[in-house]
Amino acid sequence: MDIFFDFLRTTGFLSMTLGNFAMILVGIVFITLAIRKDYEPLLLVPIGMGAIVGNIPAAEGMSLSVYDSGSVLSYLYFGVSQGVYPPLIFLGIGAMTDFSTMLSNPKLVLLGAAAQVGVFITFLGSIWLNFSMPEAGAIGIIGGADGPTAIFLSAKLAPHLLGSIAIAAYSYMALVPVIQPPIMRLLTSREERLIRMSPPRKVSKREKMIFPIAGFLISTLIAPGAIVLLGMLFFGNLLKESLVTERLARTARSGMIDIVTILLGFSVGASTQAETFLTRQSMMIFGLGALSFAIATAGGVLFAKFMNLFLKEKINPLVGAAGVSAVPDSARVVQMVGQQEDPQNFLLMHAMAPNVAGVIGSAIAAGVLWAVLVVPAKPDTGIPPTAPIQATSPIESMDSQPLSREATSVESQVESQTTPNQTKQHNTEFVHVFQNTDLTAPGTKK
Amino acid sequence: MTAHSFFILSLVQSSKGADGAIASAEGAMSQGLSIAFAGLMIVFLALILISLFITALPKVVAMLETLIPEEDHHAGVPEGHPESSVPDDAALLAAIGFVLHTELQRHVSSASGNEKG
Repeated sequence: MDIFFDFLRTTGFLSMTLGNFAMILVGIVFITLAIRKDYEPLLLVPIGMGAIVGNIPAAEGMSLSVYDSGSVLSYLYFGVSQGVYPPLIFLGIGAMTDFSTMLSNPKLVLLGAAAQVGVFITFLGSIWLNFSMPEAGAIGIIGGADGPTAIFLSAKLAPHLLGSIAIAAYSYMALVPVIQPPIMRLLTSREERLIRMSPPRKVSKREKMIFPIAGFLISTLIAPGAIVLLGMLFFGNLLKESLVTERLARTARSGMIDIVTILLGFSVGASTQAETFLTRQSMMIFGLGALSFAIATAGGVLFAKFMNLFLKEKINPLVGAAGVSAVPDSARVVQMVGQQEDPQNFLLMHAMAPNVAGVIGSAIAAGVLWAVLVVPAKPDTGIPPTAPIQATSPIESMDSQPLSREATSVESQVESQTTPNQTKQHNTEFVHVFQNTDLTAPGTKK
Repeated sequence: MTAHSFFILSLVQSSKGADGAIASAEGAMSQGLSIAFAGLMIVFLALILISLFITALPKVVAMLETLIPEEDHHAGVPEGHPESSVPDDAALLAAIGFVLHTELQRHVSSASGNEKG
């Protein structure tokens, strides 16, 4: 009988808090929105299911959650917390992105820059709300409307806010068709919405091949912090445009990005445990996230109107709203709003130009914020750069997880006891394994 | 070190006190303003340069064309690049279907010929 009562004590029913219950409901709402309304189903279903999984209270002593060292979910979450998944997603995005529209109308690139005003105004708003500088940078990037970039930067600057920021970014990306149209209509007249743009010119294959390399060099020489994200984005695009690596491009844009999306969405969802997620800070982040999307949209539209003051061939200002980099949703919204005024006006192709420029712009903004807000490495110790304030790992930031903290400290002790010789030995073993790997396996070439 | 690195480093210096700690809350907003302004300018600068490069790209390509003419094999299925020899599934299926159909027709006609015979 005692065993039975002991077992009952380990069930989730007894340890379930109101917060856990609320988060499970949030997960169900996400899944419902994805299925019923078709709002970003590829993201909301994994995140929703992850939120449900992450909020089942585990029995004491069991290593189950993403924050428990050694748990399966913690290994999946490693890709999020260390910023591994976002660059891989960028690789896939690059392999599916066609820069032709941008190459055919270069002035539309500026709209992608203008929309980044949302990032920096939200950054200021966060500072005003007493967030620390690195936290403000991580929150501000929600305005880039780019989930992987938001995850990447918050993992670097404010890991303890990663769950809230990722959920806010992806939620608002799913809500782009709801958030953007009223702002677009508010800021444009009917005459402006009726503007037709001339069809884009044909772009040669050679232009498409040169651009990924040149674009990477220009953007990352200016903002080296964006090397990882933009490197993968342009590498993916080069795989696509080089015409000689079609097989790799196909893998990057299909199987690989799908796998990473599943892992990323699910582990981000699982990180939204009520005790860490349902906080006043999270609510403020959600408010700031909505504000940043609105400002980014307004920034793009208003800058398009500003450009029209100088251009002979006018731009439809609706296209500016696509400067937020929610690809391709915001471009679709532009098309939809444009066609509500004139069903024969096809703005989708034009909107894709600022849309992909927005991806580049938000990655550059993230690179700049990372470079400015991160602490430089200490030259004597070789300690890698970390965020200066509250940039503790999610594990360390949780007071309710003493077991995890102990595990972390043991790990750090082991790490500190590793001698340079041992490290060298590990490296040698790795090289040995690598050299003995069969490079003639499918997908590799000797 | 490039000019932008100096620019960013100077921002970092301005955002910290002498002991490396972030300055007081009153100063945070003004530092934030400078970072935000500089950040937006850097984003604009990068995208303006990309835009200018794209504008010049057709001329660059035309120049390249005179030096290194574009080869035809890049456009289609190249002989020297087995990676790209992706079969056109629809065409392949059509060809298989055609062969099957022809064979079946021949089989049916020969069978009916035998019956008649």
